[in-house]
Amino acid sequence: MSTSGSLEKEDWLDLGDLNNAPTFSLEDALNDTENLSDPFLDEQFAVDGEFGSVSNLTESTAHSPDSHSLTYKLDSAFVIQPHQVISHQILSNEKKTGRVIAVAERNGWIAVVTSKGQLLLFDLNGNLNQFHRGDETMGGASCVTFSLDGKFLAIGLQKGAIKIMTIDNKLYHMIDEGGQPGQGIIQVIYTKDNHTVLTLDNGGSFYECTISKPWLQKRKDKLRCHVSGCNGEVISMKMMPGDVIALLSVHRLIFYILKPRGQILGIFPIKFEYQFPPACSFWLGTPKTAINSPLNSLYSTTLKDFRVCISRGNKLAILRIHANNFFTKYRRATVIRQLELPCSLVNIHWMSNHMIVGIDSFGAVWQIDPEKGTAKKQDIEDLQLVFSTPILKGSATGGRVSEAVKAVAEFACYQSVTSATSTSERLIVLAHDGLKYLEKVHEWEQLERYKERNDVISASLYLLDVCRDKVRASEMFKRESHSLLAEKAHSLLTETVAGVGGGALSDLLAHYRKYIRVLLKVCITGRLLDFLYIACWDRLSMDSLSKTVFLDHLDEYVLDGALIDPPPPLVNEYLQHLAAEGHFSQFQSAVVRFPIHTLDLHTVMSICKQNSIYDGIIYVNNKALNDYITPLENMLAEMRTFAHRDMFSDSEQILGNKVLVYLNCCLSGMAYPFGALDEENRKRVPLETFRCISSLKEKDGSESDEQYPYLRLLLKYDPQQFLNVVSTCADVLLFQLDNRLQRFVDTIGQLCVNMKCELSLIHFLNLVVQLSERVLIAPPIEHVQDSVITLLRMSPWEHSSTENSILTALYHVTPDDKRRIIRAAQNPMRPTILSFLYLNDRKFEDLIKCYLESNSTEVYSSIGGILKEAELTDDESAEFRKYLMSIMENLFKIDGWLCANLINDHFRDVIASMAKSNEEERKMVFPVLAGIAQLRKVSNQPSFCNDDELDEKLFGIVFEGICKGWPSWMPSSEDPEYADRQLIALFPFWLQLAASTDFCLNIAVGNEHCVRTVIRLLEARQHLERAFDLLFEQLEKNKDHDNIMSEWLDETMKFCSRQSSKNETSDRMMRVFQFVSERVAEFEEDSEKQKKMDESLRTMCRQILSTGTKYAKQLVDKLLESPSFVESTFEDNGGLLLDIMASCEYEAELYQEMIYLIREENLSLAQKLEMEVSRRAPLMHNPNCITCEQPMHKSGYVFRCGHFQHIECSTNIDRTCTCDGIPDRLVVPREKPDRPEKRNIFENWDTKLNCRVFPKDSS
Amino acid sequence: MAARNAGTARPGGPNRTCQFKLVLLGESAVGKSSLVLRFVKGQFHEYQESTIGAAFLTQTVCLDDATIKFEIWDTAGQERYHSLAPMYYRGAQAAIVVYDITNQESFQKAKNWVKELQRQASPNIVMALAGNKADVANKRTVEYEEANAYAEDNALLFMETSAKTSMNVNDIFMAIAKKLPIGPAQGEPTGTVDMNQPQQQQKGSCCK
Repeated sequence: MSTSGSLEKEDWLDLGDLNNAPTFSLEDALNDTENLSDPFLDEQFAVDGEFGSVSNLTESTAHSPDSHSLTYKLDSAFVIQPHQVISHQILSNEKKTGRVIAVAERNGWIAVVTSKGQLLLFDLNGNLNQFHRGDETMGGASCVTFSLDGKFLAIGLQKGAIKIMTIDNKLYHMIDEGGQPGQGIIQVIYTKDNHTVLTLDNGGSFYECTISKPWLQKRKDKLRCHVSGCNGEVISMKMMPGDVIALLSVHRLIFYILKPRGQILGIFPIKFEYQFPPACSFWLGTPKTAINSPLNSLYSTTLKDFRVCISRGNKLAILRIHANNFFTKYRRATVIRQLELPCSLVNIHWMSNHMIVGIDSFGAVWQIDPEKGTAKKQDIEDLQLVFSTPILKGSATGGRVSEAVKAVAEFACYQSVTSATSTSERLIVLAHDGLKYLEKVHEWEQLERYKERNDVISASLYLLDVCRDKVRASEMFKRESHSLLAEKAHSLLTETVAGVGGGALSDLLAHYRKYIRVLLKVCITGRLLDFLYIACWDRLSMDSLSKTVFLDHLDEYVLDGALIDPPPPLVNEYLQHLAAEGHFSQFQSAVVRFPIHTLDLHTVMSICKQNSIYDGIIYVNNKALNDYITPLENMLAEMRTFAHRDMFSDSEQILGNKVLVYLNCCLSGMAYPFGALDEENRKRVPLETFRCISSLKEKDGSESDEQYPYLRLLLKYDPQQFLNVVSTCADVLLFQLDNRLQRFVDTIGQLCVNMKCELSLIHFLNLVVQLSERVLIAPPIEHVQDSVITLLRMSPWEHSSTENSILTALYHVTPDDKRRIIRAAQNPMRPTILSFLYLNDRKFEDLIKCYLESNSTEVYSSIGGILKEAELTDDESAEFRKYLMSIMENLFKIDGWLCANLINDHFRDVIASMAKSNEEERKMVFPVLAGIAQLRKVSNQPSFCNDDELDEKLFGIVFEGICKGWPSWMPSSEDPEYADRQLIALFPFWLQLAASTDFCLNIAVGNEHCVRTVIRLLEARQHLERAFDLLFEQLEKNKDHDNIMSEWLDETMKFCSRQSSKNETSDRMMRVFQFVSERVAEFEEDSEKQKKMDESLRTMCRQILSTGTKYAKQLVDKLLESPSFVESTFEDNGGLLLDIMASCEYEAELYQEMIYLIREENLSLAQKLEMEVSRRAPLMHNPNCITCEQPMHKSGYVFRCGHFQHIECSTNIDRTCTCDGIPDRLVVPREKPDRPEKRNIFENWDTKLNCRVFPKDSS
Repeated sequence: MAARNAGTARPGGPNRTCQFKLVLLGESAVGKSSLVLRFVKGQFHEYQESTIGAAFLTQTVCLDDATIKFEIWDTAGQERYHSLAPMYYRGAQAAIVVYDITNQESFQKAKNWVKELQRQASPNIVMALAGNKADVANKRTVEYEEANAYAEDNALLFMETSAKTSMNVNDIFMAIAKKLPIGPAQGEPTGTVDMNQPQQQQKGSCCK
């Protein structure tokens, strides 16, 4: 069982099984150190997001006014009233009686105890009624309390005794040790039986002491320890309703009841900010009429609205206590709110239902709203509270106090603040400068304060807010507030007309503005309209200045419709004022908000007609003449003058929009611009309006032959908005009867087709779709069809939404005659619409035929779309592919690139068939193949159809096409070398295929401008000399064109670089070098060119040297011949010289290494050979010839078998011994030489040669 | 807006379908069309073209006990179309006033729209305030708390939305759907239409 409950929301007081509760003692609860490590318990509740909302109370609770100028400021919600008489007495006698320590109040008595143990008992007037001198040996007093019946007083003393006094100053009983021996008493309270006191000592122990007086015996006290200090460390306690005692310990708040046998009801953790004392207060709701008194609450048996507020430091929590659930297994409390304050509270008191007063550690007073979760520091003086620090620190008992008590000692003030018995709205506070009352300010007092300050504006606005329930007030005050407001309104008017004593006109104007705004707000919002219309208007209209200000400030209220039944003079003055000021927009908005009978129709109509204020004209016609059609006809007539234009002026636009909105209202049976029509008009007006706009002829006869003039006009002006009007009204009864909507839409459709206006047709189709979707009409197929065809025949379309509208219409309405639509969509070609029509019928071939007929490039995407998305059946797919194969040649021709994409994606098998031999055919397929080559290159597939022979042919067509400039999708150019560049661009990917045969080379050679291509192909086919010769030829050919020659020189050098591994490279480079150096000599006069060529030469030198030092001598010779070199400093050409030297040095080293290696290898071989020679004797079994058996005195062969034979004796051309005839016995196989370990001569490969000698930049 | 309903009464059941007119209002470029596009088609276009006049779309949402078909009028925010707005919001049962959380001016305009609706639209209109473009909250100039407080004061539904990320888009329409009077108040037309009944029979006062 959890001893402390959990901190889960609304669950913290559950103690589990009630049957186990009695076994769970208070000491257990206080000592439940195990559960202190419980994460729920240890967590500071204010940061527990699951625990409930935590409000930050830094926001102000100041009343939020409607606007800045209509603000007022509420005074502080509390007032501090020093009790001068008592204060004077306790302060003046302080030396004699000692410093005041604690205060208590009951039934009109105020008890104060002092540090010398004395008791001062005052009545509420401050008369000292009783005085009890204490016994200084018992120590000073530490606390005092009244019994609940007010007959007894208990005084706790600092050395542990408790004195029970009667109210008439007699010592009733003396308890020598009210707590643990040697501990001072810090708090004492009476229980409801008035014979039992509960005590706390500064060791943290909690005792119950019952005083009894058996018959004819002396009084006895029976002390019972509930918690001893070493275990519990209770800091404070408080009596609550329902016999509940709140025990505040160092870690938690415990709800405890003494009877029947001491039981815990719940535990709440308050383990935060140890240095501040925990505080607790309660609120027990009472009927609205009753005054809430803390004393009555303790006796109350109805515990319906029982709330508890706990604070410690800057944290505050409000709980609702479910008293009915005490002693049951149900939840006994719910956390309502948790707040975090910007200050550290040391004491709290629940003053009223919506107000808790808090006193912080500096003595500042805070107003806390437990419902809104807001806090506001009150603008009143700080209370210099008397803290119980010395008592709690145990100065009288040698400082032997519990750690918990010591921790809160600094700010503990339980004994210096007490609530009044009679009302919860007063606190009695013991401060260093005397005794004070801290009281809630009542609404009447607030009003009185405004009155004192002569602040009639604030008073009025405050009362207005009370009337509107914007600020909290007592029921009684609320009942009175309206009459008070009326009084204040009178006062305001008086103040307003009183004006300013004198001075500038602007001051008077400011005065009027200030007061009239408030007056208007108060009268209109406070429902004092009669006063406004009669008294205010009469008096303010006397002065033209005040009248103007009054009318100026009416706008907002008029627009809000807040002026109910205003007097006609006021209305007419207001409207004329607006017209005179030129505020026609406001006039227009205002005129329709006044009842018609209040308007001066003549004036209004005159102003409206003069200034084209149509709203006014409509309003007067509608309301006064019950005529809805005339204004419409007039506006339509006005509209006719500009509707044909493409652009409208602002005023025209306003009129047009007004016509549409008015039409909308009339057709849907609503009043214009807002409100509703009466029953009769609701039936009549829509029909009349419908008949008007759908009339065949115009009102004033048959001047024109044009049919449906109004419909045409509206369609011409803004077809979209007009048809939206129809759409928004489509579901009204008017249109539902007699099939009117259907006929109306048909008529509109017919007109749109006749008018041949693209925008009208688009929006007609949209209207049909909307109404069909809403099942309001049957789609007019014929008109839709005609509209679509008319649109299709228009070209080009001016609106981007046309196609979409047609498609949507065709989607919703199936046309009867699709052929007509298809024909229309073919000329001009409308691929998307055709696709929609054909694909709907799955006529794929027909669709493609349409595309082919128009040679539209859309055909490819259409084919792709069909293949990918049309979900073709196998049969459909086979048939469609067969058809496509049949038209493939046509597809080749339309767009090579798109066709290539199509083939690459869907028809790869066609590629093989494209290897044509006929030139015409090759030309036809070339663009497609070029596209495929490009696509394959992008996807990194170096083949057309994975067949080398076919690939060569196919690429050959591409190569030939480019080389010969056949027409294709590829960009073309007048530049003769453009083909060369295109081919070169192909090479990085296709070179292998191009160089596989001489086909491409021959074609390229055929085009004299494809020199680079030829060189690249020659090189790829290893005709290096020819390639170089061709390059050199270009050099010589272009020697007079510096730029071109420079390009070719680059080409040549690149070529040489590519072929640098060949021996011939240095020869070629030297040849180029000589050519260039000759050219340099020719540029003697042109230093710029010479410099450029010198640079080329140096580069070339380095390249030549990198292939070996064969030409080093010639290079140096040439360099020395060059004037630029000869005349240069070492710094200029030192690098080159070092390169030459390093190259030579490197080569010399290389030679030496090689010689060394050869020597080493040969040495071992020589040694082997020597050994072989020395092994001759054991090789020969017999020194005589095997044939002639003569000794070895002539030349002969020695065989492996050990025989010897004279050359002259040998007849076998195989040179085999006659003993077994094994061939080549003479040739001894060379054994693998025992070579020395190889040295890594490339160890320093990356190191620049010249760097090994000198740093390049060193001078 | 006149009400049309089935003549034959049928006890309310899970299949009833009600049709409501909803209008979107707000300053230009705050994302009204994007919100609708996201709600109706689940799409978002970074560069949405300006609405001309007004656009009409429909979308159906399912509640536990009814299906709500929204007839949405997406109005143009440009000033020149302002005077046409009454045409769309009069007779509408719901309105979403949209502002851009990165544009304080659009919030002020939204307040004006709310005021206009309060003055001139149906008194029972369900109004929602949508702070759109919540995906660019780092550029916000309208604080959530400010808008929320305004919405609370004026009894508006309020959500910050993002048509781009679809945050709260469906939620705001669902919240409106839940607040709409599916069952008719006694003797009062609801303006809803029973889609289950043939058109000719639609008379009476309520959807089913």
